[in-house]
Amino acid sequence: MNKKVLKNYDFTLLLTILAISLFGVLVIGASTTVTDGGRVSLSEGLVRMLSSGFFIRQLIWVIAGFAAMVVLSLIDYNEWRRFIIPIYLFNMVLLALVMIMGFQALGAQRWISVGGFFNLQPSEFAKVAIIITLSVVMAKEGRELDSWFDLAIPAAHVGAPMLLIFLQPDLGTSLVFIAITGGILFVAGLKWLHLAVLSVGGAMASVLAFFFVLKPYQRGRLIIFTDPWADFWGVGWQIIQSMVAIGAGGFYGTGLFRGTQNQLNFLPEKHTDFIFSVIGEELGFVGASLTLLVYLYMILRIYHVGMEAKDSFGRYICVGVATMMVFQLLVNVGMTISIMPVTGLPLPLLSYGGSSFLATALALGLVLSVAAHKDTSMF
Amino acid sequence: MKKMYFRRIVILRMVTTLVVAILVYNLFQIQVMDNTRWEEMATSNQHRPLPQIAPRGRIFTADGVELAGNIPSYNVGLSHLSSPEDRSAAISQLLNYLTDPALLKMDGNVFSWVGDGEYQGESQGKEGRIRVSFDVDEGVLKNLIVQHSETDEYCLQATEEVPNLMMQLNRVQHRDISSLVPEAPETTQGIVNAVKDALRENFITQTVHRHRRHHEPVIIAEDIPFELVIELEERAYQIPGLAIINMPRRVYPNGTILAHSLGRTTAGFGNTIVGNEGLELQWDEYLTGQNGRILVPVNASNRPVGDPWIEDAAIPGHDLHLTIDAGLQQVAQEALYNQLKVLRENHGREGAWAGAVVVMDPNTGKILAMVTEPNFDNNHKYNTLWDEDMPDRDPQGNPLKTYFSRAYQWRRPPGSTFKMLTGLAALETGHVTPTERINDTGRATIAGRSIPNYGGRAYGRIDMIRAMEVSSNIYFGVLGNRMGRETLYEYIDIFGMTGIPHPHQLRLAARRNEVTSAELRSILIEELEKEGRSVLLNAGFSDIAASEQMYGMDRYQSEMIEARPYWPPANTVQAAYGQLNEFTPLQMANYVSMLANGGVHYRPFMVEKITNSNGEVVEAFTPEIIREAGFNPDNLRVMQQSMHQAASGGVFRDLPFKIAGKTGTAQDVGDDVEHSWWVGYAPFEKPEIAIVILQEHGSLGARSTPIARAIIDHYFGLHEEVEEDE
Repeated sequence: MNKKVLKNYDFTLLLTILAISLFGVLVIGASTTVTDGGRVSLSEGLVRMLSSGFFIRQLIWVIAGFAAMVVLSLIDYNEWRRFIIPIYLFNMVLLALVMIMGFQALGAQRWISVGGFFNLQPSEFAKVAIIITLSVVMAKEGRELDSWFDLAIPAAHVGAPMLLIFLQPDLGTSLVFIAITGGILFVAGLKWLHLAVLSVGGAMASVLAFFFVLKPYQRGRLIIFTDPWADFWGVGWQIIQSMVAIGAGGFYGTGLFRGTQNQLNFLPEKHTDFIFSVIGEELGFVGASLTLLVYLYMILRIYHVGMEAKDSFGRYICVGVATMMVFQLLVNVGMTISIMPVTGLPLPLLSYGGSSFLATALALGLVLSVAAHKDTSMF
Repeated sequence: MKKMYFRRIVILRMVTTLVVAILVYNLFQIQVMDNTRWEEMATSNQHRPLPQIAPRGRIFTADGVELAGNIPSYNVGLSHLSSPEDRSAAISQLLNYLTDPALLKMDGNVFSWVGDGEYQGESQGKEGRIRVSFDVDEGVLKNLIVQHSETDEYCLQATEEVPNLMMQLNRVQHRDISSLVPEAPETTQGIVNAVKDALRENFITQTVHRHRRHHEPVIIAEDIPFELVIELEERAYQIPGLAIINMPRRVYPNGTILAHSLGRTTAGFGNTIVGNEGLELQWDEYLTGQNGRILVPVNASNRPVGDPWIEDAAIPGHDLHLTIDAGLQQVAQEALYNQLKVLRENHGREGAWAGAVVVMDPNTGKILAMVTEPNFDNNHKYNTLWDEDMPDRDPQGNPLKTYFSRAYQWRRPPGSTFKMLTGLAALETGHVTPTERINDTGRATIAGRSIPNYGGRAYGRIDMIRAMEVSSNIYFGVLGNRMGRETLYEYIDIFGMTGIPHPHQLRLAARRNEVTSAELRSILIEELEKEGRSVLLNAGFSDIAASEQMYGMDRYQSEMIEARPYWPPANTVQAAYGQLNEFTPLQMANYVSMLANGGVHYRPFMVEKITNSNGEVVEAFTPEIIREAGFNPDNLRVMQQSMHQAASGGVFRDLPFKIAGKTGTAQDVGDDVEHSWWVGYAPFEKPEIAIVILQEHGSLGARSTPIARAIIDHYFGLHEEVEEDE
C-alpha cells in the first residue's frame, strides 16, 4: 500500500464517524429496550439493551458498514471513473425495480426485498450513486457553467433518478438530490445570476407543485409543522410528542432509558426518523447540542477534505456528501422540533436502518479515499 | 478558478455552521426556556386520572347502632379514549367479560349523567327505558340474521320476521330490551338474542361516545362481582382505558329500622352519591365526602404500565349521630306491628295496616323513637316513590302510601287527645273553672249542631277531671263554643300545631344560596315570624327534609282553617273535641311534651351531633327552646291531673309509678273510618318520655295502650309480662 495513503489517511474523521455511529447504536438500543416504562437504572438498562433486536442489528450494520467504508477509503476514488455508466444504469434499474416489485410501507413504495431476508431501500444508495456520477460529469475536462445550456446536462443527469424517487413518492429524498446537485454546481462555479434565478424559479415551482402536484394528504403533512395542534390525533401527534419529548428532556435530560415519552411509546418512529427526539429527551440540551456540534465538526471536516482534494472529482464528491448530510441534518432535526415539515428523512449514521447506514458509510468511504489520496498521482 | 471553489466551500461551511446554530438555538428555546410547559405535558401524557370515591358519612343511633353505612362495590368504566377505533375495540373487549346483562349500567342514572339531560327520567330494572336511537334498520337486522343462521331454512324463516322485529325494536326505544324475547316466536329466538346483544353493544357504545366529561371515566357496569374485578385487573393491559372504580355502596345494615327517616340516595353527577330523601337529603352536605384522585401510569395506548398512586386522597363524609334509641325504636316498631296484627286478626279491623309511634324526651325535644307502619327496607332499590314493586297496598287493594312517614308527613284528626288543649285554653282564658260542672246528657245540640258522646253515653253533671276521664265530647264542645274560633287557634299556635305551608320552596331557595341546614332553620323561623307565625310546621322539626306531598297536605290544612270562607261556630265546637283539624303524630308529641314539661316548646330534633371520620365533633346540637308558653301552673296541673286519671287503669294499673295519658278515637273528615290514638307521658311526677301512638283504622283509642305499655316497660326496664287488657 502506498505510504502516502497511510500518511494522509484522515483518522480524525474516521474516529468522528465511528463515535457518531456507535452513539447511534446506543441510542437506538435505548429507544427499543423494554424498560417497564422508563423505571430501570442505567446499568440494568444497558444489560437489557443487549437483548434488543434493533440494537444487535444496527451494531451489525455498523460493523459491516465500517468494513465497507475502510475498504472503499483505501481504493483510489478515481478508479470509479471507469464504472460510472454501469453505476448510473444499475441505480436506475434498482429504482425502476422499486416501482415494479417494491412493497409499500408507511404510505410509500420505497423498499425491495433482497433474497427475502433483507429489505433494500435503493433511494438511499441512489444518493451516493448520484454524488459519484454527477461529480464525474462535472469534473470532466472543459466542463463550464457559463450558459443555461451548460446547466442542462447535470439537470438531466440528476433529473431522471430524482423523478423515479419522487414518484415513489419520496419527496424528502428528491429534495436531497436537489441539495446535492446545488452544492456541487455551486462549488463548480455556478453563476450567482443563475443561482438567483434558479432559487426564485424553484421557489415558485414549489408553490405551484404544492397546489397542483401534491396529493392532499401530502400537502397536509407538509404544512402541519406550522401548527401541529390542528391535527393533534393525526400527523400533528408525531410532532407534538416529539416536541414534548425534547422539551421535557430539559437541560440535562432524563438519563438513558428513563425518558417517559420514549419508554412509554408516545414517540412514533422513535428509533428511525425520530431518533433525535430520544436524544433530546434522555440526554437533554447538553446531549442534543453536543451531538449537533460533533456533526458540525464532521461536516466541516468533509468540506475541508474537499478543499484539499487533488482534483475536482474528489472535491465534488466531498461537497456532495457534506451537503447531503447538512440537508438531512437540517430536515430531520428540524422536523423533531417542528421547524421543518415531516418528510421521513433519516438522520445519517444515527437513525436505525441498514440501507441508510450502508449508503452513508459508502459515501464517507469515498470521502476518506479523497483525503487519503490527495497526494497521489493517478498515473 | 482555484480561488473560486475555495471561497465557495468556505461559504458552504458557513451555511452549515449557520444551520447547526439555528438548530441549537431552537433546541435551547424548547429544552431550556420552555422546559416546564413540555414537562407538564409529558407528565399528563403518562397518567390517567381515576376518581377515588369518598365513602359517604354513616348514620348511628344514640346507642351506637349503625343505621346507614357503606360496603365496597366495584364499577367498571372506560376512561376517555381519543380515537373512536380504540373506544370501539375497548367496548367490545369489555363486553366479552360483562356477559351478564344484569351488570350493565343502563338505568336512569346513566342517562342522567351521560345524555346532557336528554336521557333523564324514570327507568325500571337495570336495562332501563332506553331512549337512545339505536341505528338499527332492516339492513342491519338482515345482516345479523345471515350471521346467525345455521341453515338456509332458518335464515328464510327469520327474514320473514324482520318487519315484526322492526316493529318491536321501535318500541324498544322506549322500553326494556328484554321484553323483546317473550314476544318473539320460537324460531327467531337466536336472532332476537343476537339483536339484543347488538343493541346492548350499540347502547354502551353510544353511552361512551356521548360521554362528555372526558376527565372522568364513563361507567358501564355497576357492582360487579369481585371475581370479575380480579379477572379484569389481570386483563387491564389488553383493554385500553379500562377503569375499575371502587364505589362504596350505601347500605342500611338494620333494614327497616327508621327507614322512613333515613331516606335514600341516588347516583349524582360524576361518581357521586347524593341523598334524595329524609336525613340523607337534609344532611347531604355533611354526609357527602370529597372525592380524591388516583393516577394510573399508562403508555401511549392508554394501557396501565404500573401501580396507581393516590394523588389526592378522598375525604370521607361526616357521620350523623342521632338521638334515636335503637332498642326503643325496635320495641316500638315491633309493638306497633304486633298490635296492628292483633287488631286485624282479633278485632276485625281489616283496614288496620298503618300507624305511627313517636317517643320524645319532653325535657329536651330529642326524638327517641319514630316508627311508621307499613315499613320497608331501604336496601331495596325502589326507583321512584310510586314503584310498583313497593309493598304499597293492603290485601283489599287499598293504597297504603308506604313511602310516607306517618310520624311527620301524615296528618289525622286527633280526636279526644286534643281535649287537653281545649281544656287548658278555656282555663287560661277564664271560660271555665276546674270545678265548674257541665251537664252531659249524652247528646246535645250546640251552636246548631247535634253532638254525641262516644257511644251516646250520658255522664250527668261533670267537672274537668271527670270530663277528661270519661272523654266527654259535650263538655269540651261547650268549652269550644264559649271560647270561639280565635281563642282555640291561638292555643293551637302556642302548642306548635298550626298547619303552615311548609316552605319546601324556601328550602330549595336556601339550597341555591348554599346555606347550612342550621342557617336554613333560622331563615325558616325568620320567614315564618314575618308572616306572623310563631311556630314551624311539625312543631319546628326540621332535621328531615319534607317532601312535596307534605307541602300539599299543609296547603289543604291551612285552607281548612283560614282560607275557608265559611266557618260556622259549630265547626269550632267539633274542633274543640278533636275533629276537623288534622295533626301529625310528631306535632302531637310536641304538644304532649309541653303539657308534661310545663309549657316549654323545645325544637324536636333527631340529629344530636356530627363527627368527622376521625371521630372529632364537627357540629353538636343542644336542646333549643322555641318558646315558653307561660301557662298558669295551676291550670296546667289540672290538665296533668286529668290525664293521670285517664291513664290509671287498664294496662297501666300495675305500673310501679304514675303516668299521664289520654286515648283518642278520631274520624276522618267526611268519613267514618276510626283511628286509634294514645298520647301520654311517664312518669307522671317527673316526665322522662312523651309518647304518641296512632293506629289508622284502629278504632278505640284504648287499643293503642298495649303499645304504650311496651314502650314504657322497655324504657324503664320493667320486664314483667303484661296481660292484654281490653
